Amino acid sequence: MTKQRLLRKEERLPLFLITPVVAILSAVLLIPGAWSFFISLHDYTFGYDPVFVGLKNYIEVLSDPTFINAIILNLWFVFIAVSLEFLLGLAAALLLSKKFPLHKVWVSLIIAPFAISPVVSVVAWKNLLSADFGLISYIFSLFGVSTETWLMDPVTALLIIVIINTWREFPFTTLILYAAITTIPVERHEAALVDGASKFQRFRYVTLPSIMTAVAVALTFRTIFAFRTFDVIWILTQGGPYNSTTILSVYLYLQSFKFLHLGVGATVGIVMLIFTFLVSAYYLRALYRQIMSRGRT
Amino acid sequence: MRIKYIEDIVAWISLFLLVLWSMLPILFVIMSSFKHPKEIFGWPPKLLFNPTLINYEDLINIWPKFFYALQNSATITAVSTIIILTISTLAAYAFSRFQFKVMNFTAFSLIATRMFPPIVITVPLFPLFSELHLLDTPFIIILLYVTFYVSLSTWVMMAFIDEIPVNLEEAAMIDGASRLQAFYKITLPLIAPGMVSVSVLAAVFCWNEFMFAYIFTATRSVTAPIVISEMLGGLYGAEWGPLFASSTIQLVPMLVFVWAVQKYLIKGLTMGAVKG
Repeated sequence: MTKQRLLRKEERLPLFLITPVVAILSAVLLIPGAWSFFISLHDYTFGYDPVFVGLKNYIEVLSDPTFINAIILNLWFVFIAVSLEFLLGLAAALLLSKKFPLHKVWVSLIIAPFAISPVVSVVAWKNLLSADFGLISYIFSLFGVSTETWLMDPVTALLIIVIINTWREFPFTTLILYAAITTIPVERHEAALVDGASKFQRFRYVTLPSIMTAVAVALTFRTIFAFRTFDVIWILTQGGPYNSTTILSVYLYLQSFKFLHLGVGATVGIVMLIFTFLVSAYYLRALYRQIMSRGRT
Repeated sequence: MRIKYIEDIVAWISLFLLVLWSMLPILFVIMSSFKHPKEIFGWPPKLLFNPTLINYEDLINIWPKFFYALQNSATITAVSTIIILTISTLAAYAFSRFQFKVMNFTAFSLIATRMFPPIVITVPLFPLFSELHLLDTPFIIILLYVTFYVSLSTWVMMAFIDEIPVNLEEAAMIDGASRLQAFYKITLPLIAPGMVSVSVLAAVFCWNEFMFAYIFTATRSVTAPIVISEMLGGLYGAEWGPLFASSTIQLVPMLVFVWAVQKYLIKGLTMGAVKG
């Protein structure tokens, strides 16, 4: 009988179960994503029909010094922020793996920034750095350094954003690396100890190789997510002073919602998309292999 | 022995500094919210002061909008989290139990969308929502939050369901249960920790989200982070008193929640990332 019919019925169930997720992602993400590409080839603003202009937006954007500047700033921002987050995240993970008494309390306190919204993060740091009454400003003033112009100076403004970003995001790296460190079998460390390995050697030849996958994952994710940073920058500086913190996401926002050049905004979006998929290509390939090999055992 | 002793001291000092780095900005916001406005601006900043509720009173009097937005935030977070949890669990169950090629490929495609930068779709969606008169409604905010958290959630739930042996369900089915009954009675209770993980991650995201709310809401469906940002960028500079009070109200519930279910948060985060 009915093996065939049963099978068909069985095959219908999973399709039915995944329908909501597939529908939402297609309607809100994939189709608008494709539509973005379409818009990027048009002159388009609110209330008008798009006019096809080919690659004009791409050429325009590439000849705009603000855009080129945004790319360079963005790459610097990602490089510095992700490096700091990674080093701090790794240091915190190694420290936590020492298992202090009250371990869980320390973990809670250290990962607390994870729960804080971007806007409150800015409130908190603006408070500490405020030239009139901030604690950090006070400490600096004891050494004769004034923080008064920090948010108005292109270099320090970007630096403050990097610091806030590092503060918010390092717990992610810490948790991922800490999870990896705790799964290293104790025997490996013991074997290295018997061989007379120093502390650093044990880190270099035992710990580090064992957590390389976690390191790659953490770096991939943090690079992608740092690249699209918008909240903290927009709340703190709105891209200023003099575009010195206008990275691509801010440039996209300004073009689309301030100057109403939706075609240009969409073009920037496509550039961001391309960067994202280049950075995550290796991760996505590994993911693809892992998922496609399911069910063959 | 002596070296071990010094090492311990260095470790404790490092731990102390790390905790200070993470907690100091948060503690200062909470502390300042109980300072009299005169003391907020005191120089040098004081650690000891007489606590007062005057900033909270100001907030209530000057910014009733904040409490309206807070309600919006709570509703949007709750509804989004429930939808995310429900549809991602169903999809994850399907991907986990029916591993044929089409399903695998769909699973991969859905999970890969997690890489998609959210700001990119604001450009095509804004004119569309405007045309449909959907701007400034909670509906689109919920829709966007669900869209951007459902792929991670599906991935995490898949990892949890994969760990539950199929045999358990098959045994129940032999005993006459339907597939859905088997899922509901056997698997669902076992993946409860996974569902908690997904809920925590989704709730933190929805409660704190800024960009979509900033672009797609104005007054009716405005959320708490947006109102706080308005106080921060006021015409005459930041209004620090109400700002600290509202920030404290916005951050404390989420911080307590995250600490309460920390175990699940960590599990969900590491499963969502490292299993790839």
